[in-house]
Amino acid sequence: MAFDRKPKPSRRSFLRGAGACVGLPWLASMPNTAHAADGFPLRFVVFTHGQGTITDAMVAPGGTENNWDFGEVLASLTPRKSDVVVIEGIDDATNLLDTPYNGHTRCRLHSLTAQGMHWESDGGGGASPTSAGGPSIDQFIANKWSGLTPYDSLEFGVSVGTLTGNTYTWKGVGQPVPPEDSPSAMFDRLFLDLATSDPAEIAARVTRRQSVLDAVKSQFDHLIPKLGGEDRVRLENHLESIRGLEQAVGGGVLGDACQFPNPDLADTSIPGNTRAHIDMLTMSLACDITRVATLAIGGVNEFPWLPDLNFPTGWHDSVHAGPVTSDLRADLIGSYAWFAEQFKYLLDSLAAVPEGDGTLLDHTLVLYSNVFSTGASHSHEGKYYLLGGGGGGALQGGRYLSFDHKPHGELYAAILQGMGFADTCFGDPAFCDGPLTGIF
Amino acid sequence: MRWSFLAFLVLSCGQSEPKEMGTSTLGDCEVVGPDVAPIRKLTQTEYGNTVRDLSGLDIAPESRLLKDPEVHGFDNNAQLISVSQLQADGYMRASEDLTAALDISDLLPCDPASGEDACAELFIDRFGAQAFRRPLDEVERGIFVDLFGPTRDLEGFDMGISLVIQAMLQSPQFLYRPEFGVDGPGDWVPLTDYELASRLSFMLSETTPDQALYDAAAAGQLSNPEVLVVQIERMLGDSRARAMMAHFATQWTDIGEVENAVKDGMTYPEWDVDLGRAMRSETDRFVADVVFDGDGTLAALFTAPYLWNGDERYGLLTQPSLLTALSHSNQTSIVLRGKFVRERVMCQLLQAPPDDLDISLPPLDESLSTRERFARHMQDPVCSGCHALTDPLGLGFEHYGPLGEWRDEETPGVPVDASGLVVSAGALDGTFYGLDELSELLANGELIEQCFVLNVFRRGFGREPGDADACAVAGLEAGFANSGGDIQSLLREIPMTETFRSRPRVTP
Repeated sequence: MAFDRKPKPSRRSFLRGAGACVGLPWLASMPNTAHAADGFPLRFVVFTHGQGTITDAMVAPGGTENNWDFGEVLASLTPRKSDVVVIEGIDDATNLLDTPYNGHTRCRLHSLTAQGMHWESDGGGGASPTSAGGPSIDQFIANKWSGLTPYDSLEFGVSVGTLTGNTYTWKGVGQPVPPEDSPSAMFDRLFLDLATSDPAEIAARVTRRQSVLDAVKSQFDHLIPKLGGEDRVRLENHLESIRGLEQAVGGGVLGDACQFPNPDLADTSIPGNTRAHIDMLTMSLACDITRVATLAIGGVNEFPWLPDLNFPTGWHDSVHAGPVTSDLRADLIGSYAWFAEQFKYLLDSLAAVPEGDGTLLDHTLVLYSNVFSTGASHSHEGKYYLLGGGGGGALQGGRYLSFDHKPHGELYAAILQGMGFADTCFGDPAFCDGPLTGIF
Repeated sequence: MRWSFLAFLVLSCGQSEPKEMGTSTLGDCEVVGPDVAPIRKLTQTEYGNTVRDLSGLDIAPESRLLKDPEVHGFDNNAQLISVSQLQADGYMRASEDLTAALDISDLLPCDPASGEDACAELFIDRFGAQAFRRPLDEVERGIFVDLFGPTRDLEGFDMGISLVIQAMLQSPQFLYRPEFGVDGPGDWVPLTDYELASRLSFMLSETTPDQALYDAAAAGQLSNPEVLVVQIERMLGDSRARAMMAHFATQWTDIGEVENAVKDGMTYPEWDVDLGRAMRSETDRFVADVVFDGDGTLAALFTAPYLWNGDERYGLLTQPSLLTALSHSNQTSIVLRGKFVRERVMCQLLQAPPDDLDISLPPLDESLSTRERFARHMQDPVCSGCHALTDPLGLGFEHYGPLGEWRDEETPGVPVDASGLVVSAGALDGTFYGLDELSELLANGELIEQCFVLNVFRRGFGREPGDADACAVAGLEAGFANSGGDIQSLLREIPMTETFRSRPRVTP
């Protein structure tokens, strides 16, 4: 095994935590420095997909906070019930700012940012949205933890595509963070360099890359001062990514549970790509290559791996049609249930990594988000969100929480506070009266 | 306002008359002030072409990169330049792939045996100038020399050169196209010859300047309009211009979507992705043929004859790629097809349906025509505000089925009625029957010419035109109209405009 092992919690993180809060007992300072009470780093994962769901099949009718059952869509999560909190009644309320625009794009750009889109006047004398209006929740958190790991964040995609409106994750206006759709390319990026067992070869490669990146940084430093304002910011952002890359080429900060992943890269079907990405996402957290990751699943036109489903007009058209017949309802539920099964596979994978007396899942908060509530109407109101994992001991699972049309910025504010940050709002403050209570 | 009112509006649904929406930033032609010309980054396509040209190797380094975001179909919008750590990693690995595949001696202008340092410095000067599309300055040169020396001492000459190449291909002077212009008075400054060569090459050829263009820039001749014209002519005669034009058409029309199309296997067992690719190649070929071998006009793009499966057809709108991409899996889509004409051909953006409106398709019914099934779109006032703009256009496509196949009947006993209507499009308003008549109508429309110029501008400049471009765009529109809509003429005219040959002064 070629991994460079370090003790946990990583000395670097511990020292930062202690240094930042002089005079406080160190344990009290740890939540602010992204550590669970037992010293393991806290991680944040977003699992997201499009096309909504059938809302009345998420949770069985008549449930209360502590006495409830999953509905048909989420039934596969039953063995993980104690790790999951189901939250309903959330509106992605900022959509109201951009109502004339296509729901697929609009809801996607709003779902993780909780801000109105950025519009640019176009050559037609009108205006078009060219960007999300601010950072997505994952990038917001990644920025707070910047520099702690080789990658500040990793973006895994399954058939997400290239339309700007298909990008869920944004660093800010004009800064999409598109996902890597190819598991084999992701494997090369994250793990191939660790596949050799020759320490001398690894050391030589690291030295070469550092030499090259030093030269590249010098070229940036030479060019940037000559540029005008906005171009300077663009190149400074690029330079920051290169600084991150420098940390990455030095190798991860690895714990005992870090294993060389062995994803099945030959299976390039949608389920195959999804599983391979989840396998790598899990190990990227276990190996402390990153602490923030997103898995976005998009573009699923058909479900040939689920032979019982039948969408002769294609899945998208059938979602639009809605559950007009009981057969179509059953098939739509089957398609939505597939996403829940992938979410369960993610939770299982995280739970299979031991960390101290618990597991990686205990030290992770997983957010399950969907672009719409009801698929047929493209609605952004009355959405279901799921939270999974222990969040470092902050989240008590096994609960079902119902809210009355609360804006999603308030949910994200609650998540930020639950993870130990001081933020009282996320996104557009006009749509946030403070964090939702009762979740953490 | 030089800008035609009708050409540039967002059609507001629910209004009987179109109304202007959003804020127009396009002022009068007389107003020329500094405008934004954000730095351009090589697109994925340009990166691949450039690395192949620099190395002479038939490789695909762009496969390491994340795809560029698309706006209005085009993947080169400079406002969305953003290099994440994953993308920076892609650039690093692509450069390592290249040096692993290279035989360094093939690139050397000298024999290292006769002096390694001198040979390396000569290489840095020569290859560096190709990579940066201009000679290196002393600081840039020094950075690469300082990278070479210690690496050579540790790992030998070839590794020293390899790391220099890797660093060059990750440098911002290579990945971006910084422009500063020639110092002088005023808010606008002329581009340097090298900057002009890059703009020209990436617009017409989607790659780095070739030797002849570079030499013209190095000789300080490119700013001479007579020399510029000769270079443009030479580049338009190259196969790269054909590839560029096909790529432009793909992005303009979004026909790449045909490869992702899903069709009902029961009704269309012949459908697979290979057929989709064949359709797309047919459109690529058609566009390049019309522009470079045929009549060459925008009108011809809408009306030129070609054969598909032995069937004689006319113009872009009858292309099976387009018709297939703009259909559902088991039926046509009068909405998507009408919306395509509005948004991509007329540059009129449409509003999306309101939230929570039931927009499911009416159920298939073999006894009803599409026109009858979608009648509610035109009758219900909740629907008709928008659908009056799309559906009567889309109904004109009805002789072409979900795979673009010709049909006289939708189902047995239900004949196709492809009567259509154009509204809210000024001089184009009126009735027509079928695509041949619609194509003929569009082929002669000023609105259509202006929209085409706008799209060529978007791709050529990587941004939307702004206030300071008003004169240039007005001139291009007039020139395009005077040439009878000749597309090559338009491509010749763009580099001659002040907007192309100069830029706002850069204030650090």
